[in-house]
Amino acid sequence: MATSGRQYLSRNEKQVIKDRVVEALYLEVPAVPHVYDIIWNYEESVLWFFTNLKAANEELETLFIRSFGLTLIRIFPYTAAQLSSDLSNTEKDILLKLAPTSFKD
Amino acid sequence: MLDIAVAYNRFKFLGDEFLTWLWFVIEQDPAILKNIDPDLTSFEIGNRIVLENRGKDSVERITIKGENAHFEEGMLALTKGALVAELNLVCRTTEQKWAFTVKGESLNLSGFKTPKIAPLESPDDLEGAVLEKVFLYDKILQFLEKLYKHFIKLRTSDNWQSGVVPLIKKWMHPS
Repeated sequence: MATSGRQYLSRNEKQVIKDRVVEALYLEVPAVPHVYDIIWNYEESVLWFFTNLKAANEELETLFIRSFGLTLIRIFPYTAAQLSSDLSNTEKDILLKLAPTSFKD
Repeated sequence: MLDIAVAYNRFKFLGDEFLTWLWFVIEQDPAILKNIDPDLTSFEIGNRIVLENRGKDSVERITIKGENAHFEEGMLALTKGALVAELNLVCRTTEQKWAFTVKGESLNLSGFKTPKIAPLESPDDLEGAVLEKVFLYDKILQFLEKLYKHFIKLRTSDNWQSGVVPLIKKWMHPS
């Protein structure tokens, strides 16, 4: 500002300064480690990740594909039915059309 | 395969139906569970059960917890259209005990307690202890996988509507 004679910084310049300050502070603050257990049964293509934290699961998925080029598929009701239940093609077609059951009298 | 995010929301009712069916099976037909893993000798609802009644615009949530909780309120919620959304289970063999909670919509497990393993006496015991712990987790994970497989086969069969649902209704609404 002193050399250019301007009174104000542009929005981009403010953002660049902010990013540099945040980056410098990050380098000074010690990282807080979060440690989770993983068991990877390579032969069975099964991985157990011992946390249900959403952020940690997403981080693992990203890290896994970057590191190994492999996509992790979470097991939830649909994927468990599709991938681990040995359904025939007919049963898979029925699965796709299922609607909630009413147990009311 | 459907898009994962779409499939998660579209089929989360299957997890709730699975847990509701499981409660019914534990109370009315535990032989199904013993056939899946003959080593497991008993199955009980543990110290927590969460039921959800999903309306068009709202979700009613009922939580029952406590070591000696009675589940009459849970049965009442079932009769009003709720399904089991989370279930704490206790499984036993003759000498061992596992306890864990299953969440219906994600099939996530939490609060997993396996039988205790022997304390380590030397660093050389570490590998054996890890393998034993893995075996203890795997025992229940294999059981749950087979159980869900059994449920899904049933759920995609004609027998679900004609045979199973009437029995579950009769259990929910005893006259």
